[in-house]
Amino acid sequence: MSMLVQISSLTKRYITTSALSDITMDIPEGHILGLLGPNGSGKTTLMKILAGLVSPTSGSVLVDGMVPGVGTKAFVSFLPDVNHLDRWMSVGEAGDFYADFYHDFDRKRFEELLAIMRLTAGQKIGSLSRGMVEKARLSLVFSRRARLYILDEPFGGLDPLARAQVLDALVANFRADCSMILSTQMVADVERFFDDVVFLDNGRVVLAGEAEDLRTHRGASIEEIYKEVYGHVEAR
Amino acid sequence: MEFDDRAPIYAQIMDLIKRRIAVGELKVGQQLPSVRDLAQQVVVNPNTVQKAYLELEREGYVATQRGMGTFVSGDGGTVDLLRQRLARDIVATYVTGMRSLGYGPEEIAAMAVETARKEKK
Amino acid sequence: MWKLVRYEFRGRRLLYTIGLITMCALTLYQATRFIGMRQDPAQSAPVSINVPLMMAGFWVLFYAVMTVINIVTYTQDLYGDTGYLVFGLPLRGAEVLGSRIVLLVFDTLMTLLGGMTSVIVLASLAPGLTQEIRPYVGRFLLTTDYWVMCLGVLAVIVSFMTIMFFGVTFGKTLTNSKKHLGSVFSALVVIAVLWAGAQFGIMLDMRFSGVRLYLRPWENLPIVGAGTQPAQFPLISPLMLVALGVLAFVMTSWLMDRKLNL
Repeated sequence: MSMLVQISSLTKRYITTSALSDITMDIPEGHILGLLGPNGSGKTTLMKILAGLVSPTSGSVLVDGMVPGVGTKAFVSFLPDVNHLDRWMSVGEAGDFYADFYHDFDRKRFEELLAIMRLTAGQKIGSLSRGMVEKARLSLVFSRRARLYILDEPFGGLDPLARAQVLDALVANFRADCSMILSTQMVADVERFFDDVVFLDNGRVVLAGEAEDLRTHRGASIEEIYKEVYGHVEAR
Repeated sequence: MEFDDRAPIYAQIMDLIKRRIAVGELKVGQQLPSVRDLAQQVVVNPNTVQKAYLELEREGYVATQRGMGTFVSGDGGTVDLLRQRLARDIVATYVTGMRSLGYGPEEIAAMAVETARKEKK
Repeated sequence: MWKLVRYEFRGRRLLYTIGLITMCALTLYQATRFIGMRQDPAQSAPVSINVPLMMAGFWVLFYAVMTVINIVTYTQDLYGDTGYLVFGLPLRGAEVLGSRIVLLVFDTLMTLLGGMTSVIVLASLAPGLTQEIRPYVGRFLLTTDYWVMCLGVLAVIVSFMTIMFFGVTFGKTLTNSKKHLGSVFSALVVIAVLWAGAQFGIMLDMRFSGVRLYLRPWENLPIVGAGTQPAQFPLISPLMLVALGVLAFVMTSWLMDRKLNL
């Protein structure tokens, strides 16, 4: 099994803070990796580095053997945790924009996803509720036949039905030649989709492994392990 | 579908399939749903379904033919054996539970028969 | 890059339409007033010279607005959430910056040509000026020197703005904070670079005080300009500014590719 993402001793420092310290991890091809941790643990920074939007301070990051940059952006589909679309754009125009710049954008799939999410092309982003904007952005990101999907809190602002729809889309979207890394606070709802899990705390990896292995060895769900890991940490 | 997230999910999928074989929902020689289809049905990671299928093949319950799919292997005899094995697991759980309440073998058997007769009606 | 340029233009459709219609309307209005004034030239002569100049002023104002919008949009993308869209595209930094420069050049050319058209039309119709101006208009447009001067102005404006883009971008490479601290820092960087550049330019100009550009942009238009004497234009500082602009472009592109912290 080849590694789509290889990260070695990755560190990211700003002038006053350290966002990531000495991160080493891999994402195999065809795997879904759950990136877990409390707010401020470095999840978003790690994802932005993989997406080529933040530059590492030191260490090595390779996505399909390339350093994140112009080349990787063509096959990496990133969903930020905030709305990244212009408010005066319509859903359809956003789709056109994606189609124009990303060769891997699948228009047919986009239309299908919009139908499932009950969105229409004419709606302006600024007029949509938070949950609907989320669904629109997810549709855009998933309509790309990317090699790596990076999803930062894709379930925030979604009601249980929408969440189920997104998870269904996730499974339907699954291909053996692509990988996914996603962060979420809703561990219980999503843990059955993780092949691998990485727990971050204060910019460091505190626990990592295959989800099923962790369940077997600890006799606990990923959510319970989460509480163990961070409960411990807080008690320090 | 509901899974117990505290135990490996692939094992639970295996149990699910074994059960279907044991009760005849999946006949010998019948094709299992594709990995993707089953994953969408029960809503789990397709890799987990893949692992379940591989383990089932290792244990001899199914066989995968390249390009064609995964099929239930064995014959009527193996299915009966499987049914028995699953039954014994359930009985073992029942007996352990009753024992922990302090019941002896005769009472355990009697209560089982009584309940079985009632549910038949 | 040109795809991005097309999108930017589409976003500005409304602004351009409003702006151009306003300018045309203003020009036509003044033109008709002038034609009406022909009856009484003595009364209107003092007014007529200022009007074309005011028209030019409006064009400059329109240009300033478009340029400010250009850099403000870029800053908003850089510091705001829409940056994830633009900077997530498979484009090199040079292409993203290049699209902004293309818009700037287009705006400059549009203002120049539009402004010239308005001013010439009004000057040709202005009572009191018509007889003297009309014969020269065609000829002054054919002066190479005039177009060299315009090119120089274009180069200086583009270089200046590129330095501004550099300042804004540089502020974003130090921290990923969305707060305006970064933009304050950027503003300081821009001011520092321009000030240092100006000082350097003045120093160079004094050292090379003999080197000047002698142009006769108004050669065929004796009514404007100081007769047939060539006008002196500084050469060293504009060249230095252009060099700084090119450097700013290269550095900004590099920063966008390698050092951004969105």
